[in-house]
Amino acid sequence: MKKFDFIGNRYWAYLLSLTLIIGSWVYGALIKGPKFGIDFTGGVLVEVRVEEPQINTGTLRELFKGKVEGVLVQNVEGEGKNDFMIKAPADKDPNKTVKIIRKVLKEKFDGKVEIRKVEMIGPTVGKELREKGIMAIIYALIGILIYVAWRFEPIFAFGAVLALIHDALATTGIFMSVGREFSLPVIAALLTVIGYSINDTIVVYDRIRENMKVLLRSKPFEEIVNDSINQTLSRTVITSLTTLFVVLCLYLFGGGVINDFAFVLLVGITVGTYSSIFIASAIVVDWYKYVKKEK
Amino acid sequence: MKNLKWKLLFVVAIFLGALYLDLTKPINLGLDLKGGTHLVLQIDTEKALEDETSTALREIKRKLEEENIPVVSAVRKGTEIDIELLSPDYTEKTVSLIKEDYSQMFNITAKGKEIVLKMKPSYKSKEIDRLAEQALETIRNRIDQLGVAEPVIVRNGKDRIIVELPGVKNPERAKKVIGKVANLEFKEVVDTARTPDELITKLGGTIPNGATVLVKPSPSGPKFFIVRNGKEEELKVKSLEELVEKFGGHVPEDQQILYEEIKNKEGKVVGYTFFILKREPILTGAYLKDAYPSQDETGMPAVSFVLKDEGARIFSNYTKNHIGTRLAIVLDNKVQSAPVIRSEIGARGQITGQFTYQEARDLSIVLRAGALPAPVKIIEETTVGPSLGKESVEKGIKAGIAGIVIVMLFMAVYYKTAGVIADLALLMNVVLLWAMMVVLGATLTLPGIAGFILTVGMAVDANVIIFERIREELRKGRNLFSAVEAGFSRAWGTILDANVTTLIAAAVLFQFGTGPIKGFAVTLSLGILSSMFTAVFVTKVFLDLLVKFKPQIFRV
Repeated sequence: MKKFDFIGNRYWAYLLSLTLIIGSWVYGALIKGPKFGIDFTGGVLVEVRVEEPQINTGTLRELFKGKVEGVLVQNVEGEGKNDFMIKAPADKDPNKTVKIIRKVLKEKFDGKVEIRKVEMIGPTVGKELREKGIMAIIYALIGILIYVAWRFEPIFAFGAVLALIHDALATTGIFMSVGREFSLPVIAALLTVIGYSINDTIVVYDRIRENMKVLLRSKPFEEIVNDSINQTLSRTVITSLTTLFVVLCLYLFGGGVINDFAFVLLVGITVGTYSSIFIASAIVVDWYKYVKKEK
Repeated sequence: MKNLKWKLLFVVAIFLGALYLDLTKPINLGLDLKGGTHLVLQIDTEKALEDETSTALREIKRKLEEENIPVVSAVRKGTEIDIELLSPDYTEKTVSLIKEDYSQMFNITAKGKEIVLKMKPSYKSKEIDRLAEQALETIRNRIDQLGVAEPVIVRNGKDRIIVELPGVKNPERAKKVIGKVANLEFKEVVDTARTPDELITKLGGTIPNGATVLVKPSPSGPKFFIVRNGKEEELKVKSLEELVEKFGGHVPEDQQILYEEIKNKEGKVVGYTFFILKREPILTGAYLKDAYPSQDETGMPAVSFVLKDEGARIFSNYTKNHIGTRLAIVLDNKVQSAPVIRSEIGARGQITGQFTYQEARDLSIVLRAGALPAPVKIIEETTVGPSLGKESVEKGIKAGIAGIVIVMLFMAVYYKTAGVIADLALLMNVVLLWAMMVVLGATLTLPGIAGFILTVGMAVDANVIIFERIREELRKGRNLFSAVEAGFSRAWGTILDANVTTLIAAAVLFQFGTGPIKGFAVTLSLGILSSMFTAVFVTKVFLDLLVKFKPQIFRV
């Protein structure tokens, strides 16, 4: 079987990862600016289907002019051109905004309009969810850190969590760069990525630990690690593939809410697989060497 | 061998049992799939507590007056009362007087001639709890009256209520009925005024020469302007009492000012009539036995009510002695109408006041169900139309089937007969996971469907780990039987570790998530558990059978 030298080339991987993370964050967060959905900003979102061929985003926008401040009308991605998304920012009384939108639509298109979805999030709730979302990700990281530290030696836990942070940063960076909007399902997907991508890492670590028991005397640590990555490589790639298959189906067929969710998983699982092969164990090697030198 | 037979029987029994559940019992669908309205209500407990403090303040002032204790000032700040007496000589007596009635409610501290009453945190939290329970009860009653099938009404945290209304057709109406305070009061009319000027002068205030106070309607209530030399300037006042005091007038402690809206034919507010009322109501909505929509003598929609026996006694007593005076019917601090009492009124009465028929009907509902103990604000709404929910389910099924088929094909091609066995286990996983959700009464949401599909892709992970291990062992030259054994025993620890971490993430998600996301966390967790059973135990049983009886067709 062919053997790849992952550990020997690890500095190239570090460089690639840093470029990816810094690049995507500079572009996504600084240049483009992150977008937050109404889950986090508060506001109003109404999805409608209007059974009238002449209607477009411009005519709808005109309809709400002077009645709803800051209104935004877009076509719904992945739906027909008669499906529209009407968005309004959270002001003092978002309930009233919802009421006005419903009323205007009903008066104008009575019988020809179907209000498919209404979401209203008060500004305080948005703030709460924002804080809760960030806390959830931190808790998940801490929980996994504790578990891995308990099951493996601390140096493994350190590598695992660093790899996870790498995955989370790269995924959010790419997510922001393509201009998608953060929402609750996106946070859920990020947490799933965190829970999932650690799997691959753990499988490799498990093998390193197993090999260390028999081989530590006869082989340098770096080589053991590299062997372990190679031994688990087909498994790592194949599980990621099967998961990517279903996620791709979700991405293609799942529709609206699921689409963002699936996108995060698609990117996250790819990045996670890459980091389990190229980054997570390499960090352990460098950490191991550093500790040895200190002694 | 015997052991294997029992294991096979066990697997088949579980499969059939799960399949039976899948086919006979329906799964709970979340609102995002079946359509409906999800509301989160915030109870304004602060307002209720402030009102209570105001009532206490009035009572304390009255008591001190009775006891001839001179007070310099007594004001409320939030849920705190600051009293300044004329001299510290009265402090001790005042404190003991207040303690008589309010030691439960306030922490009382006195320093010199100043006394501070701070609402006790324990009282606050008990009161908030009581308010929330009462609001929950009232809202439940109202929703019952609206006739929504299978609503969910639960408390969320200390001062929030979650309401789920499946399949509701008119969410705006439901919101209106749920959110209305519906505090009905009957109050004695002391005096009325058609203009702000008249109101101010009637209460002893004076309007500067050449000036006049104007009132204009706005969505948030009347706005006042002072007009002088043709220039208009808005008067920023929080209440009508404040307006009167601005011009040197005074509203007696036991009185208040409220207004009635004057509407045109289209129902638009065009002006106001002001009422000076006795603060203490003669009767409140608590005495109502029934309320129903009706018509007044001109044929306009109105709401008729029937009082309970005790209410009827109070009412007839009062009306008998006040024939010829006006009685204000006040709803949520707005005067609905103020009829002149012409004769003694018993148990039955009518509320008029330019309602539409729908408004009269909804008002009857809220009056029957009782008033909310505090205002509520709807801070979150999600309404999903029935067609969107149905489409979501269809899309989910499509994505799910496509995903399962691709994964199964891949496994069969890549791992050959072992892959086919993994496919059998995968199908069983789907059947089992669905059955677990049915049995546990878990709710399937849109993200839940995604979680379901995701576990399908992740479930084969355990099989991949095992099969790769078996391949490796075979390469080392082990025989088939021992390679399978070694593959399973070595893979188990890895599989466990890998799944526990995903469970940790799912548990965090469950903690943090709201409805749909919680559904995802639940599906994902259950999926991991059932996949550990099917991918490890079930696969092992089938592989053992194969190795035993048809080793020649085994390929991995």
